[in-house]
Amino acid sequence: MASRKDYTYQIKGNKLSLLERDQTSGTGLNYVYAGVDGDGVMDGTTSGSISLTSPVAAVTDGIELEYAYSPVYTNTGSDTMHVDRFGINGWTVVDGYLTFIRVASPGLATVNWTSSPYTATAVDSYISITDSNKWNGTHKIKSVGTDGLLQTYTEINFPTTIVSGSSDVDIGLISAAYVAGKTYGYLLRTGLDAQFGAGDYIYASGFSNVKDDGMYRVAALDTNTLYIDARYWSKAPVENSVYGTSLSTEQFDEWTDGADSISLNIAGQSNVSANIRTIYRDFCLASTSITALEDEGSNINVSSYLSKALVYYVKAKVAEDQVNIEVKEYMMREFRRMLEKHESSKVAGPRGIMTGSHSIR
Amino acid sequence: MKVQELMERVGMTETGRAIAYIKDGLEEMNMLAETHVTTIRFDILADQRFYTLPNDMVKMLDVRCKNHLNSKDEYRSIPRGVGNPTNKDADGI
Repeated sequence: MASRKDYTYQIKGNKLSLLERDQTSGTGLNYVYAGVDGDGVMDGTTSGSISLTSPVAAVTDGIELEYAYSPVYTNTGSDTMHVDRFGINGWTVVDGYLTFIRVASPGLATVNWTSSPYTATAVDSYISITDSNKWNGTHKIKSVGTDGLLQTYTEINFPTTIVSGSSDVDIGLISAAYVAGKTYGYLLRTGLDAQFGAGDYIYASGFSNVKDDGMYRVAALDTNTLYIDARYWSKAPVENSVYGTSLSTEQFDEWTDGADSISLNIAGQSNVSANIRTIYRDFCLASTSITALEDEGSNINVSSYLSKALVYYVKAKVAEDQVNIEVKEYMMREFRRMLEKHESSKVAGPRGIMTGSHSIR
Repeated sequence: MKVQELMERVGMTETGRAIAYIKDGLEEMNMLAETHVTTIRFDILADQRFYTLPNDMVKMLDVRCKNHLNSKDEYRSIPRGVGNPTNKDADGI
């Protein structure tokens, strides 16, 4: 059974600040807070605090956010996986712009956003991101890459590293010295260990043998060397089941036992050219059949009644531009009146008052 | 309704200006009456305090968390905290 939790939130700019009480279940109706004895007095014998802190444990799909959005963009597709919806393994920053990365299954050709089935993702078109921990919403595409990268116009500022190797990158499998008797992957290039850290995720692309292109986790560092112990990708439908079964979830092979999965292994190359860049692991889904209000032929995605209210709003703005405040106020009043009528039109029958969670029963 | 039809009703000829006002109107509409509502879920990560809000959000209506004051995997609304939390987030993420 899942454990009971106690959350609260605050808003900080464009971020949700989530706080949790660090508590453990006690006997009966009582709860024992870390750092507090049974009487609720700080006893200093345990770590932690009675006060709110950052979330103590990870919870999959732990936050549910309900919000109103402006229907400026419309998803006209069917959201069918690998037709107009694709898995995205993570994101990085290219020239200051948010860039999503889709990683192909090991050994298969690198994702090419300019060819089928990804052709809906043209420059200046839109994608809608869902299930991301950071970038949900609609993004306009700035450039489409042949190396799995999909750059958007969303400007962000995050530390990222990119290493462009020119005939000086080695990749392969090794019985790593740092854990005797276990096999890990490695990437070797002068100074590589100074540019990435243990626990980082990297996206390596551009190898002459595409089997080595992929997203990896850095396990440890050695002189000029990154030891890698996990590989991540998104599966396509026609592929062998060895690459996974789900199109809408992240596929991975974590070599926690130090043994690489035979069918997903690294080919190994020496003195080759490749790009190695930081990737922030955040598996999400990108819908590509997104249309926006762009020209006179665009459809406004509101009901017939609300579109009449919208006419009043636009008339009000036009009157405001002409400094005709009287007309503007009249039009805005009509706009609000129609909105209110639209709201009340959906209320019918008797009403019940919900019991609050803290009310006396 | 298409943009062209709205422009004809208003008597406008500039498409760009009309679309800009339509976008403003759609936002205003959702600010006042929440005509378009959606729900998304994302993961809570250990020790991560801040989560970016969706860039298409006009008005937040509810924040619910899994297992908040229950152990049945139910999503329940969580309260908004007032004041500054004592424990600051050192890394700002």
